[in-house]
Amino acid sequence: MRVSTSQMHETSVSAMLDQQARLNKTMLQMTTGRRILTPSDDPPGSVQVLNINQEIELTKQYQKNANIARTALVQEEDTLVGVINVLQRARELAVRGNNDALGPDSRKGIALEVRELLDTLMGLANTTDTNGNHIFAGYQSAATPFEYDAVNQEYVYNGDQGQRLLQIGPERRIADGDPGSDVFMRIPGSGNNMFEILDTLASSLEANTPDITTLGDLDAALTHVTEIRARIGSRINAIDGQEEVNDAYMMDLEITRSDIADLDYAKAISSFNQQMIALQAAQRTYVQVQGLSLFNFI
Amino acid sequence: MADMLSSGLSGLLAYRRALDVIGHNIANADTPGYSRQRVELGARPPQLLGGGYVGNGVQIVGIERMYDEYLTSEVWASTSAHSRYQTYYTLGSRIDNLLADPDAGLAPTLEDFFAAVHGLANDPTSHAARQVVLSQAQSLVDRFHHLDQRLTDMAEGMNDQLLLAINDINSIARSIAGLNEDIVKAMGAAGGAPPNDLLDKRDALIGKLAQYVDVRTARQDDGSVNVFIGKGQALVLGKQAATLSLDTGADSAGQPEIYYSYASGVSTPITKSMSGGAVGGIMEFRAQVLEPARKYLGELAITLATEFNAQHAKGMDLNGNLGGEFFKVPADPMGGAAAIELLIHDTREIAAAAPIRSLADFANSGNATISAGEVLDASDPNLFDTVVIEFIDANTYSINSAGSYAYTSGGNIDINGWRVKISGTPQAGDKFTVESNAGGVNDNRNALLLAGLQTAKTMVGGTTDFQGAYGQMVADVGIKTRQADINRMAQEQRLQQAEADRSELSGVNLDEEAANLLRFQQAYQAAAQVVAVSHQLFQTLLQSFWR
Repeated sequence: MRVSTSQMHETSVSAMLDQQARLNKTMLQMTTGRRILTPSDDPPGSVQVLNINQEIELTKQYQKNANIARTALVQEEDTLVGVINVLQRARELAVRGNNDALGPDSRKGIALEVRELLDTLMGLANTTDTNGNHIFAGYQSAATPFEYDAVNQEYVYNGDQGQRLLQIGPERRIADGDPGSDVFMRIPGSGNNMFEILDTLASSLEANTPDITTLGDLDAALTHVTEIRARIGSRINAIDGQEEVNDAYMMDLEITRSDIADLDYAKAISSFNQQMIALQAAQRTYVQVQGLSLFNFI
Repeated sequence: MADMLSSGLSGLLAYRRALDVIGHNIANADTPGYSRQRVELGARPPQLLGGGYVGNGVQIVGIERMYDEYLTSEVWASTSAHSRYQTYYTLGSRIDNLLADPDAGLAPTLEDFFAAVHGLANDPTSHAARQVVLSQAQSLVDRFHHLDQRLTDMAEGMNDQLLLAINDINSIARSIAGLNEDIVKAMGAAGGAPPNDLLDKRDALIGKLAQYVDVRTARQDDGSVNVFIGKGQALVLGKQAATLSLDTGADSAGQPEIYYSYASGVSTPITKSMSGGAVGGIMEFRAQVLEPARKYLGELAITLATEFNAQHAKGMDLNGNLGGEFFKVPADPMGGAAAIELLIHDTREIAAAAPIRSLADFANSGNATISAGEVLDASDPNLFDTVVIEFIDANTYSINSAGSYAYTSGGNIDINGWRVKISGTPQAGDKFTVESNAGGVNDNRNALLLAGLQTAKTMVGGTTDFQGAYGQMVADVGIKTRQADINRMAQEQRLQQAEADRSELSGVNLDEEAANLLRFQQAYQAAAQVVAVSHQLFQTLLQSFWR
């Protein structure tokens, strides 16, 4: 076989260029740490990475949502602890006011404290979050939910029965609060709302006619609020559980993504070395072969 | 002795010519497309003398061009194929990188937009959260525009490339026609002897043409070559060349059409029959990757806008109105990504809430509860009317004090375009109210449903979500680019092999030329010696008479 001189030159140069291109790609992979530099390197793999990225971002979002839900529930729980304290104090005062030995002035004194408690309760029921939203107003968080209507002489609820849900997992939503109607207005085992109960207690003490039935109402209210508090506790537990699930899922996703997209350095370094040796060999051969010519001997 | 002199002289002439040819070969050792030449020597016709036929020296039979038509046409064919895939691959890797780029692709803005909607669901009263939704929506719209613009720019760039290619094809065709004319004349003048260097020059031009399109050639007896492209359209017939022209339509990014006209005849479109080479690669890439990607992106924009608008319309904004058009829905998938727009600019007009809410009366004595309710048809004119569902007994209820309906716990109750579910055991007189959600600023029900669209299977016939559909497009472009890369490498091998095969026959080897140089130099010296000896013989003869 004859080989033309220019062909020999071309072949060695293109061999060197090939080796250089390969070396360059390995170098790029090593500096970026990525096995897939462009989608055409591994089309299914790069699409998987895109999808995993979305899943990771979405799961991070669920974690954020879970945190927000927890913050809201913790605030609600703290507020309910205040409500329980009010009710317990009111119950003590009701028991004391029922004491037959007490005179009207003493009862009026107790009634004064009950009125204070009523104000405190009103304040707690109208609690706002850091953004100024009333936490017990249902959807209508802008309006003050609880008021005393002096004309009709009754306590009114301006909110609604809406309950906001937050997405804390792909298939998991959790309520980040309870509407005020559920907490303060409807008390199972009592025909009155919580404000009415305290108002009735105060009025009966002011009139020096202590009413034993308010004690039963107070107990019903305490049981009710304690139940709601327990429900919040179980919601927070559910959030903790979901967060663990989310964390584990995110870890799985990150491992999978790393398996697909990240570079195996041991492999890359070994092929880098091989490619370097191959390039050096090509360069050496080129120089030596180019020196060979019959004209040198003429 | 005269014969000896003339034989020696013929050798001197022949070897001198052979050395000329070697010099020519050495000079052209690196000339692309050059075929080495070789002097063919033959004995001159003998002369009948007394004792029989006596040899008469050497003569040059011809100067042969070391050339094989099959090997050369194989180089042309592989040049076309390689150039086709090389062009396809180069274009493909540009769009490939664009689409999957973590900063420039669609995926990150899509993620950010839906993250903002989640942020809205977490805090629907927050002006800041609403502002983030609008600015991320604008970023998403901008990204759609940007991607479409990049694809359009590419289409324009490809049309420029096509125009250059077509101009080059025309000028090559004219040069080939001109060379045909020269070659025919030269062969006539030389009594049929081929002008080797002109033939090489013409072949080199055909090789250059093969970079642009597939070519077929037909050699004529007079030495000219006819060149055909496409589906047998004659680009060059003898000394006549055809002309190609390009029409890119109304806009420079439009679908281009290639026209063919021969001898100032009528222009006919031949776009579809153009294959191979850079022109074929561009057309193929356009039809298989660029146009589908642009259209697919437009479809994605249309579906996203349509789905988001439909859900948004089922919600209520902070002004108490039903959600307006959020995105402008593009009319046509082609270029649709450039036509999507954000239509809402006031944070209060984002419909995060549901338009209705449900209430259980405080005085209810049963344990039945009512669901929050969902909107089925936001266009119902009575959507906002207050509806009271009152139980006549545990199994029947009336609507707004009228009628009597059977109650099933957990069953759907659909009225005025909304749906609620009442579950549990109601008592006679228990009331449930469904009313307008005016003032329900803290309601996030619609925001949650909007956020859920991110993973809803709305694309590709309901099989995947937006991200998945975008991923399929990225994969499709990636696979085609990879395929082109594999083909490109295979064709590069084939081209190298074809060039090696041709050069095995036609290429100049300097060592070989050096050896021939020595050989013919020696032969020349020997022939000169023959002349000298013949001279001496003659002198000897003359002196013997003189004496």
